[in-house]
Amino acid sequence: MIEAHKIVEGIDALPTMPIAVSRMAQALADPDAGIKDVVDIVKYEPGLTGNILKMANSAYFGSTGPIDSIHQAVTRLGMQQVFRLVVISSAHTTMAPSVSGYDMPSGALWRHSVACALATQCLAEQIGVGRAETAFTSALLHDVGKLVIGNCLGIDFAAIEKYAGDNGVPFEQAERQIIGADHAQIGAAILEKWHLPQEVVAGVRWHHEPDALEGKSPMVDLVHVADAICVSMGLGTGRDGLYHRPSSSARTRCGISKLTMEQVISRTLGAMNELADLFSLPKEEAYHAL
Amino acid sequence: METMIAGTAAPPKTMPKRRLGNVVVGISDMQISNRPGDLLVTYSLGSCLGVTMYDPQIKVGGLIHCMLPLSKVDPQKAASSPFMFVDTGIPELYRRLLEMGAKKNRLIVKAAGCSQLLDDRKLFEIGKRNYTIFRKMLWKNNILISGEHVGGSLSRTLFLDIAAGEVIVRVKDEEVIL
Ligand SMILES: [Fe+2]
Ligand SMILES: [Fe+2]
Repeated sequence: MIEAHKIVEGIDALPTMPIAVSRMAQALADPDAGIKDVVDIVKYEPGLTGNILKMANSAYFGSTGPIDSIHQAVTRLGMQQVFRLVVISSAHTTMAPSVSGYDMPSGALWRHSVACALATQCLAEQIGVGRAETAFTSALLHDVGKLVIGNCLGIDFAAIEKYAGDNGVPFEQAERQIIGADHAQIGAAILEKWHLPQEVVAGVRWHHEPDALEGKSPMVDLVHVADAICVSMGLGTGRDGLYHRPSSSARTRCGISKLTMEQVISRTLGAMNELADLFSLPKEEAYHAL
Repeated sequence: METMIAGTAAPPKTMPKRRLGNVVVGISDMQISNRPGDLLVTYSLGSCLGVTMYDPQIKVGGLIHCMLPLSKVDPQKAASSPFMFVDTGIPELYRRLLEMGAKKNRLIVKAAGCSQLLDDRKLFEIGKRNYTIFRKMLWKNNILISGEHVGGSLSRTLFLDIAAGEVIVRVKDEEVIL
């Protein structure tokens, strides 16, 4: 079993998410928050404004006429959409590195993260859940724990893989067996350290075990189903392959039909292709490096 | 589904250096070639279905990577990207090869992918359904499958070598010639 201090060191070494993400999350939860608050949050984050304007001006977000200020972006696209752009733009640096333990070259985890966030968003729209920003943020960060254990020297991933394969159990269960913790637990610890809202932390903590969460949560269920979809479709699978156990109860709880899931799959891939350049998603060729 | 994991030919062998395809078939994409130097490849086949069709006489072949079984879930998408669905993609692959001079009785058809998540009985079973629809289509049209590597919870890479007509499936570092 790996010593805990190594994992703690790994957590400390991760680049922190820009503070803008948690401040935006707070602003969204505050009914009195307005455009001015968003502008204030974004303007102190270097590079963020430029990125957001680039995204806001793309055809995908359906802007009519150029958007040249954050104020305009919020007016035209709405606070929720701008929030999603802030999160995407802020998470890239954190989520883009390679994760050697999981055989994921640089960019692969980012691709999976974006796919999962888009699928979550799409699921939420299909079933009519408004205010799915929490789920969107959780989805984007759900596998952040992999960055720590997947790059922590001394963890025997071959043993984890063998344990999962030999016993026909999910990869995260094998992680607990071999390491003593899984990437969802570590991920939740990371987000807590970054002071992200509790709901976002819960989505990460329970993304593989939505049924184990007391009280259940539709946001967690959405992230779980979206992740299962992306893993199944090969949108960013690594060494863990399809060794994950989907919860049909999570799907039922959210009222997601099989037809809806297939529509979401088709739409998510469409969105991935359209946003590839804008969101710096690696092309298939990136897997040559594997 | 369990019995479906079967490389029909040669046992797995580990290659000294990783094979690199020069023509990459993305998810919901298809490529056709008759250029002898081409190695068609598609990565990360999970529950998706990868199919190769090849005419050894005129050395023309194609590779498709379909995501979903039936186009009726999103007819608009099916019109713009027919390769996304098994029921619109496979006929398109067949049609384009015939256009290039391939003959039905010479076509060699092989398949890979159609994996499942663990215990995927109720979530969506897309891998299994992709496979079922594919088999039905071939059966109706009297076309045989000459090799397949499907099912399980694996992520696969599929290659088609245009010059030799060789079809290779890679799972992690092991390669199987179908
Ligand atoms: Fe995960
Ligand atoms: Fe994931």
